[in-house]
Amino acid sequence: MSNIKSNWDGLTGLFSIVFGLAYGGYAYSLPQPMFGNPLEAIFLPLTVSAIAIFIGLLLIITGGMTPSFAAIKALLNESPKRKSDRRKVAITALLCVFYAMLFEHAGYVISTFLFMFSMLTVTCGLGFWKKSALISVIFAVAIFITFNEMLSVNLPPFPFFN
Amino acid sequence: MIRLKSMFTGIVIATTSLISTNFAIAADYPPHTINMVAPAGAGGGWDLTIRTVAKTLKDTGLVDANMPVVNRPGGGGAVNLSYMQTQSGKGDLISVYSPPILLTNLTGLTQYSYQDTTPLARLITDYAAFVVPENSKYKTIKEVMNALKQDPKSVKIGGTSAAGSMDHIQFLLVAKAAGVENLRNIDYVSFQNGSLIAQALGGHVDLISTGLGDVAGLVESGKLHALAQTADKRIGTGLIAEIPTVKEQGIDVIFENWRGLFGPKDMPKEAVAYWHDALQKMVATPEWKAALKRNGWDDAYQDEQAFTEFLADTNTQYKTLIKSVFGR
Amino acid sequence: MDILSSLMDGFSVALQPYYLFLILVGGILGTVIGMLPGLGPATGVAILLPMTFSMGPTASLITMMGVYIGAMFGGSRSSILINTPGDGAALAATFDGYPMAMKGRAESALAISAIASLIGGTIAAVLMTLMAEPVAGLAIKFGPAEYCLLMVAALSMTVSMSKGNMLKGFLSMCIGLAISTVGIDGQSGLQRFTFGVLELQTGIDFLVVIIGIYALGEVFKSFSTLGEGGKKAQTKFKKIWISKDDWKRSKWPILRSAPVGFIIGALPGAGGTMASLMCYNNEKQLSKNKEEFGHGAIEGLAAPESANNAASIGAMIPMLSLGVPGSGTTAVMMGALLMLGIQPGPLLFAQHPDTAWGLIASMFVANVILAIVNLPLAGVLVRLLAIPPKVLYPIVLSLAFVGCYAISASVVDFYILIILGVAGVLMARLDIPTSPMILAAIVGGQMEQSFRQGYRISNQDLSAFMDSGIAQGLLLVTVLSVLLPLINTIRSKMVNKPA
Repeated sequence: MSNIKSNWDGLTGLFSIVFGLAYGGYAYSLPQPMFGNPLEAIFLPLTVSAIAIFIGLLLIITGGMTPSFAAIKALLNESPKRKSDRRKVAITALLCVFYAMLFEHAGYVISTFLFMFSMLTVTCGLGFWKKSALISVIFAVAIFITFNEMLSVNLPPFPFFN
Repeated sequence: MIRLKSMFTGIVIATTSLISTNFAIAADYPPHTINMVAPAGAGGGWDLTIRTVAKTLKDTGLVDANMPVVNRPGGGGAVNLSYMQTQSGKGDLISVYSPPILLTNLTGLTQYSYQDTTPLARLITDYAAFVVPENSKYKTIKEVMNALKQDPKSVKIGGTSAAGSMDHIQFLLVAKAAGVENLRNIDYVSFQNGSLIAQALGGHVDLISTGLGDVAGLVESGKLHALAQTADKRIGTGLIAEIPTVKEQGIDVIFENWRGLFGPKDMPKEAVAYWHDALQKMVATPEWKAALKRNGWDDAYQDEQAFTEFLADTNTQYKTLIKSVFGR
Repeated sequence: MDILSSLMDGFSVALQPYYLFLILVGGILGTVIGMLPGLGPATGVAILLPMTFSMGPTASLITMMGVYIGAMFGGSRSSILINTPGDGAALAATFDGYPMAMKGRAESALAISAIASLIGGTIAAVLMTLMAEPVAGLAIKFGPAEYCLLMVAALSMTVSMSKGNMLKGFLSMCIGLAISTVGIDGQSGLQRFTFGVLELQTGIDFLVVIIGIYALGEVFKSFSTLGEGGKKAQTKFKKIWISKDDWKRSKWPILRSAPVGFIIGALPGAGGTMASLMCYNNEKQLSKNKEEFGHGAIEGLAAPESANNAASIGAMIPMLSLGVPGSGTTAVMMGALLMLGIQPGPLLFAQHPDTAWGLIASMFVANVILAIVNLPLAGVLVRLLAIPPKVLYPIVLSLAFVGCYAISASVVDFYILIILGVAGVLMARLDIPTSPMILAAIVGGQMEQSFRQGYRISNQDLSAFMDSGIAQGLLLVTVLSVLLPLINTIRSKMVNKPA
């Protein structure tokens, strides 16, 4: 990132246009409402979509696409450290998705224990697995008891016990 | 190694015994735990009803199972209705519903209806009230209807629920019975952020369509004027008892915002019989009567057979209305 | 004089040891509930409701007041310490509170937040005692047109002041507005952008947006600093207090924000979130250190903290004097009153003077007690920062999910949360500010609905939006909020040019 100015304006503009088109297109294809002026329900979505497309065009014109290509190149040539950071983010996001899938089936305590334990393994490494397991168990059980017993906000209970 | 092995056998024994107790429970009703479901968030009418039922059954000792209250909100009750389809044939889930169980189906928000459940009992009811600001030019519901007949845009109707849902439909039901045509052209304005009554106090809408229980206090204080309610008789005391019914004013219709209990589709026979018994006993207890009084609910008990017939009749009534409004 | 003697009677109720004890217990419980993400004052009061029934009306109400004000105090604790607001009203506390904690000034941040809350709450309680009637009258003058313009004013303030690129600020706003249109549309009954998912019919809760962008986004972003060089766990802790200079900077923002917060809070449906965001923007506009805002300016924390506590007291006005609940919390409290056989509304002060005045007096008392309790409590909480980030972040993530489940009881919102968390990282990468998006998600729905309500009621006549004096005033604020920053930029450019 020395001489060539790299920024994401062009790419953001492109995203803005795609977002505007998709959102506006969906709004336009919605069925006719039963009550009132049919345009009322899609007035705001169409306006938002028009603004997004307009902003996209402005961003591309003012920023140009070249700096964005430079930015992508810079991204690909990043230090291995930052690449591994990005991989960690991806792993975390995946773990979150697994957690969501497991949550209602395995119940709060089990799914949260697994989630916390794997998260702690990602951040601290496997070396601390005893500590990680302990923290995860305490957290999951404490939150479960607080919410279900004291606050009567029902988190999914243990499976099989019904 | 030995320790590990014995632990493993322990787990196997524990699991099998759990499974076998599960079978044992299924044979004789009630099971250890019955989930009482409010198909909405904590704090609303459905939530309050199911919590009151669970508490009364527990306090009076009529049902001895654990009855945790579960909130499964979303889609005006439709999320829970879909969930109940996955529990078909089971007896450990009881859910509360009210007219939206019919309306969400008839307006096409969900494919499931009351026929995809086992109706257990109707418990209580509230009625619709049509309320105007203190200095409104309308003194009776008849005047409102006449104005609407002249020009459907002349009276703006406010309500809490979305267009096409209960507050809207209950008004249209009365308007149709009063002979107003062009029901679709009447402007209904939805205030979902909780400001509806303030909008009426400030005179920003001409008339609000709401539940009698929601405005009783303000009607008593004289800040709002109730033109009519939709019961088949006068109810309550004091100023509330002075609110005329729509029937008295020559509009032949009643609307009840009933609440009742439902089990999953194809609920086992012994479960249905059990709940018939338990609920019939519950509505006669002083605890339930006190709860009715405390919450301003009107007793409207019907057992599962009467309730199912009632649902069929009401469903036809709404269907005709929605057909004439929506044209489908 | 009459008011004063009634208030004194109220104090003679609220200051009895038994009631003081209830306020204290309620306040501590409220603080704890307020800190948990997703659980705000409304849930807190609803949860503790059944426990208070056996106590009798006055005791029950006073306990609920303690919980309510406690939750308002607690909400901002997690904003400051882990960038995860407990509820909407504590959102603005993340803007400068979290940066302060990052700079090692968590102690001052926690202290000023308690002090500002105390002063804001007390000013509002005084205003409530003196002007409940006229303010209630003002609140019902707000029709759809006025609500719509209020939302437009709030939105334009934030967007016009978003950091960096104005175009990207608008893009961020567009995304937020798009989020707010998901769900069944109230005015037409149409399902918009639900993709056939039942859970989306009720829309995306703005708290989910906030938790996603802030809590998840923050954790995702922080991975780059987890290793060497980045944020370390704090090991030394100072006393929870502020310096003279801090006080000099925060004094006026606190005093100015209280009345504004109070009035916005009194509008049914507007509430503490709006009040604190608007006051934050006001202060940014007025401040001499604009650049410091968003990087740990103490007045940027003091102002919204004062405003949201004032708003929570203002929200009691529609309930007490009109019998109309103005917010989620007061709706629950009103339900409780009804169950206890007390009818809130115009007749309340005549029929149950001890309860009504006892309640008002307990607002004063609760504010003082909570400020006293919160300072030592903050001393304990600040130790959270001693947990190394690599352990703290998984905890924050799990708390975010459980908070999300407490809001909607649905796993569908987990996926939305994850998508938003990833979006938060991408937006930071592309230099798109997130605050316009969040504000648009908060006010967008109500802005659109009130616009269409007004449009329908006036028979499609747009000029009706400018009929009332309130509407014209709000329009003026909107125009100024767009013009002032523009003029400022132009002026500073003109000044810099010769040099």
